[in-house]
Amino acid sequence: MKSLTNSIDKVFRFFRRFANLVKLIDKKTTVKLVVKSVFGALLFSILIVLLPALILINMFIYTKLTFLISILLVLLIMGWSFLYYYFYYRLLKIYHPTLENINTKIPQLTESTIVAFFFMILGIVVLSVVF
Amino acid sequence: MLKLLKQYKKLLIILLFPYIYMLFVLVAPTQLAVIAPGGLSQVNEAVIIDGYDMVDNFNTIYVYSYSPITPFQSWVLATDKTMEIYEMTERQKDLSMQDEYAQGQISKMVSLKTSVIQAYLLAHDTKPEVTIDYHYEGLYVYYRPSYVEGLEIGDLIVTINGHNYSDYAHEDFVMLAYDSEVEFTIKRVSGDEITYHSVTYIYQEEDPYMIFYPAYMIDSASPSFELPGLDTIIGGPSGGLIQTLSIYVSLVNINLGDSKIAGTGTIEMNGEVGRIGGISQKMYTAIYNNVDIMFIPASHLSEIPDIDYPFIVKSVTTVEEAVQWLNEEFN
Repeated sequence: MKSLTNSIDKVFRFFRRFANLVKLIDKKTTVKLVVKSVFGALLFSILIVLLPALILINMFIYTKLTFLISILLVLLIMGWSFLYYYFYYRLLKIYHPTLENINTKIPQLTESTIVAFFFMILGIVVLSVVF
Repeated sequence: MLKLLKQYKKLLIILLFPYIYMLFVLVAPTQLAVIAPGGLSQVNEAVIIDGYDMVDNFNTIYVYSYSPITPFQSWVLATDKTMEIYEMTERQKDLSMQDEYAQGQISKMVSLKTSVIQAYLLAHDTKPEVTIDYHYEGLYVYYRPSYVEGLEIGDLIVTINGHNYSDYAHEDFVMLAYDSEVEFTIKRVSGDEITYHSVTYIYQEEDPYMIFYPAYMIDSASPSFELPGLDTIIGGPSGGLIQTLSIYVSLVNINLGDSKIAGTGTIEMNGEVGRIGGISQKMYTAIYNNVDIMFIPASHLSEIPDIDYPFIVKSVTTVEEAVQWLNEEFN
């Protein structure tokens, strides 16, 4: 029971820290540069993911592998969210040198995981409808 | 962003050219098409006959057809003997995806109706209570050059240069459609409303020839039937033979045990079994799906891959031949 309480406490502490860091980052950034970071991160992450995604889409011609390729595509999209947030915080730090001393790893990984989880659920729903 | 780009300037320049090349290879369309093995679909789901249980032994075989494919796909598939890569025909180049879908649906509809007519006529010989009445009603457009305005795939042609279908047999009526200058009257039905349109077509030397399917309307049938198979997205005429056999066997009640029978071949109104596309891919599909008996058109026998098949390959020229073989084997 105690270990469970400890675990819940750890989770709450983690999310409190995450919320505080996000607030801090929001205070130090401007809307204009955030938008630039978003578009830059989208550009870099999509360019990186585009080729493997196109290879997988081309492989759909092997009808026996359709299910496997669909799963790989979902994994790739989940991976894309990690790439996107990596570039987003990298660009944000370049545009706002004051963020250099702030730990952006926690918001980066937390947000990536949440988005990847969302894509995973979406992928499972779509795959279960199609297959 | 520029700072980040500058940081990796050399790497990006090196990667840029292979990246663009790969992008081109993965996206650019070629003039090639491919036929790939597909799967089986049970005929008993395509036809319902009132008062009869449809046997579940018969399966049509579908294959996948992609056109155009990318250079990457052509490289990957070049070593795969189960796939057939070929130059796209002029007709394929001319068709949109919607056109191809419409072609599949119109040929399936004609095939299913012809199967019902043929099966009922064959069953009538042994069960006189099985009857069917039908009549010829013109031509369905299966292919027309896409620039011809007002003529769509699936349109029903009822007169050609003033000649009405009712005065002709199909073989003679269809010949009129191949004159160098023709005026078609198209009959379109939308709900309760019937409209007629005229379309003039002058044949140009570079035009691929038009293709038509016969339109037969079934006036009455005993037992009555439904065709739920018309509502599926799988299209094409190649299930004709196997649909006919399935309906016939269900009507005359031949016990096929648990044999898994597949087959391919179109069905004509004179009972002939016609040629189909992708015969090799259909043979591989039959292997992957563990069928026991496979019917194919006799004209394809010399074209199938020279391998040991784990099932009986029965080649036929007419549906009567297939019916006779089934009666000899199972009755």
